[in-house]
Amino acid sequence: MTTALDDATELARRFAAGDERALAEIYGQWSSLVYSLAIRSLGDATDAEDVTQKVFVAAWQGRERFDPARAALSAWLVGITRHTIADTHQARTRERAITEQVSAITGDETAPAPEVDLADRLLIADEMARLDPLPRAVVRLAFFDDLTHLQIADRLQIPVGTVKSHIRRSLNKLRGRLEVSHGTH
Amino acid sequence: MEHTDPEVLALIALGEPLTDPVVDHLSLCASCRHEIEALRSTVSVARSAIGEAALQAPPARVWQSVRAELGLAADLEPAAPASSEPSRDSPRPVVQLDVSRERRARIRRLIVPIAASAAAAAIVAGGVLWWGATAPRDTGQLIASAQLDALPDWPTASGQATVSERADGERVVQVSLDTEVGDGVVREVWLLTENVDGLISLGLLTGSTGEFLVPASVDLSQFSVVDISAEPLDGDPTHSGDSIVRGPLNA
Repeated sequence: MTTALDDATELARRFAAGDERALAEIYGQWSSLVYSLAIRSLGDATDAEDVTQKVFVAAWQGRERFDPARAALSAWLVGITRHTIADTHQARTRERAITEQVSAITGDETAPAPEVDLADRLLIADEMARLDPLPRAVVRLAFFDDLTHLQIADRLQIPVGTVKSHIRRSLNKLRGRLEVSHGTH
Repeated sequence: MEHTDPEVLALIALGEPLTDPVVDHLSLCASCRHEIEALRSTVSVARSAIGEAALQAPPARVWQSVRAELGLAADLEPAAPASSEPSRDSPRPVVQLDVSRERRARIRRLIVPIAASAAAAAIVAGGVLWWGATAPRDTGQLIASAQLDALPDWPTASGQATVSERADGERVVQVSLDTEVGDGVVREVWLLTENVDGLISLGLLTGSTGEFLVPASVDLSQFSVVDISAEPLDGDPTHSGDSIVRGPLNA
């Protein structure tokens, strides 16, 4: 985990220093999160693609304003994503006002969701989806069915020690994913 | 001073009871307490992530546009994260809910291929894991029921669903379905939102009836439609789109 955090810090430093390859790496690491946040909020793949493009263009152009000592790069990106999504919602509202003079649409949810919490949720869900089938089944039973490790062992017919070790290792993986996203150094 | 076993700390973070020696140690050890707190906040995010899908990667053209707009080297490619998944070009609608229903502009929301059925994937991949509920200890109080009607591809199918709440507060969905499916196909029970913007797998139906626990955090007023689908055993945890029967829960 320390390694992941160190890597993230090193990457952030190269990015701030204007290394194009760092941008490519950052895109590789975080474009899925940016795109998923946009698609969740906007519900439209084309708009989400636009947002994703804008976020990375804005990040590169604004890289001098990014201070690796103050924030995690991913948190900074999520902040840009939140603003860009909000702008898109606003543009849509204006568009509707012009084109839909007679409209039955009421109560459209234009308020952006709290993206930071959503970002955490999406990251964790993503990490869970990447677990192997057995540890994934174990943690799902622990998280969502509230079973104890003894009940899980019984349910899945596997040794108690295996359940405990899957729980610990999986929980550490999930935590590591959140720490890379939040950690500053 | 010997610290508490990390496996025990993880269980405590999940809410399992503490033994006396552990309590004694924790009262003295800030480091173990801190560890529990950190794990606990991870658990709380994870518990809120029920029904969320894995992240989706944007299509390759997005990077090409970024590269062009910023004038970066033409051969610069994004480095894939260590454990990346194959990207999909666009969100795949999980299920065509009602062909006759017009999509209204205001529900232009994403129909996410929610991998709530990571559990289903586990079953398919693992082959031996059974995800359904244990048989409820008591029959509980009936809180909702649904008549499950056939979809056009399954004209002779029909089924029923009831939801009851047991004395311990657990909610149990009981379904019955008279339709069999062919070899290499299983039947999966789902809860859907009315607009199909959310989808939760309850598990696989073996036989003509089955009982499934509803996770405590699921709001049945939102996930108010019971759906049973035919799922090919292809390892894809998302809904196949081939629903056999479906019906709204009525209190």
